[in-house]
Amino acid sequence: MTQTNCHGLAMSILLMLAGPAAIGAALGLSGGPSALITRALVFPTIIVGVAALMLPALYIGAAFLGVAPKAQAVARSARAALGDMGIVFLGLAAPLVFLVAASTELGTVRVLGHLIVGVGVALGLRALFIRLFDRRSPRAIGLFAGWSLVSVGIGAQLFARTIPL
Amino acid sequence: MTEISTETTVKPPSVRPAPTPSVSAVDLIGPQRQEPIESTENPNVASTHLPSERATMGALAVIDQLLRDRRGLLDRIESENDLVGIARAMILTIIVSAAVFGASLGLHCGGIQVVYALIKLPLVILLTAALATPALSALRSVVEGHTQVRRDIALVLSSLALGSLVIAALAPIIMLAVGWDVDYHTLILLTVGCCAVGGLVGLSLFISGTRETALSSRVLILSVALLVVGLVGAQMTWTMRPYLVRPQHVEIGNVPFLRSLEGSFLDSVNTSSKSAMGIYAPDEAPLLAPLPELQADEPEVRQ
Repeated sequence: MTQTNCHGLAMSILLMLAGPAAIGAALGLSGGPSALITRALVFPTIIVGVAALMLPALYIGAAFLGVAPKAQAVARSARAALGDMGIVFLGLAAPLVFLVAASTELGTVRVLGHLIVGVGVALGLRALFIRLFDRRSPRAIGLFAGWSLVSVGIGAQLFARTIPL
Repeated sequence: MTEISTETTVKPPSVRPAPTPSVSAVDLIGPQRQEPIESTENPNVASTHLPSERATMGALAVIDQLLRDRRGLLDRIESENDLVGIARAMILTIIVSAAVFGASLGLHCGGIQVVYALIKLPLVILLTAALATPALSALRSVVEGHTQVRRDIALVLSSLALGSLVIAALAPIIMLAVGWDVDYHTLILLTVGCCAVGGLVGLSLFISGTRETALSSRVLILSVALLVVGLVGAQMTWTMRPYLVRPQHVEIGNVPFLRSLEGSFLDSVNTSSKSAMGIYAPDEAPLLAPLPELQADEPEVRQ
């Protein structure tokens, strides 16, 4: 692996983790330092964990439907899409911190948290789909839509249990 | 038959101003070189004016272009032509224009409130831009596939500057309303109307600035950007209140620079929504007057 590739890989991993960590920390602001650190660690773990769990299923399903790219391309696309999600989360972290810090009601923090996480996840999924499937066939769209629903469902359950808002 | 020479044909005059020469090696800190700053109006001006005067004339030229040749300004931003100069001019425009509008709002209360509102309104706009621009830049980077942070900053500042110029132009309406002793709530609505007009004009420039993007991506970027700016701007405005000052506070003489943080804007919307549905928090429930028949049945306890 060349130096440039190593640098690119390191940057992708950094973005993949830093963005969700920033959002997790923002959501833990109202709970004190321990909640801040805990959520900053938990949220990236959920994102990466769900991706690692679900990507093989996506590849297998795409292979069966005849729309799968090469396995290496899937891994590269996933890494780039998670990096894109991290960039979005990093950009949204400052507004979220401001809005959470100004709020005194947990209900508002809950709505904001779900909204920001939803936007970031949606954009990450969009980035993954664009990278994976050059031809937007109905089979690819249907497969990806179903896979996204299950992945988001699992991620949302983990999020609700580990980051109660 | 005489032939008409094409050389005598009168060519229509060019209606677009001459493009500003590009400045190489743009430095975010600012130009450190001794070369004169080139003006769009007169290339010979630079040799006879002080650097501060040249900077002012450069800023005025940018503001003039913002008002009269927005397409040309957007082209400059797209080609990254003197983005630092554009950003400086726009920040200056926001500060001055928003201060004028803020001062007109402060006239309702008068006194120190004129100064308070004059300071707070530019802060609201600039702090909102500072928080929202990274989100916008991240969004465009992910959706469009390339990062151009300085271009995004210039576009956001230009949009806000244009909106600020519009509200500054509408400030006399507020002054007129204050002079006519228009009541507080009507003044609030007038203020919201003026800011809505300014906001829409600024938004139109922002939308034009994304014209190079594909339509679906553009809709996505604009939707998320509006959501972020809307939430952050609303909260920033809420945090920095008051601007007009409620009449009862004016009577008491209690004019704070900032009101205490009584929850966020969204908290207030949430509470009001629940109240509208009859759901009250115990300490916010409306007080009921005692029923007359209960008062008549009360035993005498005082002797």
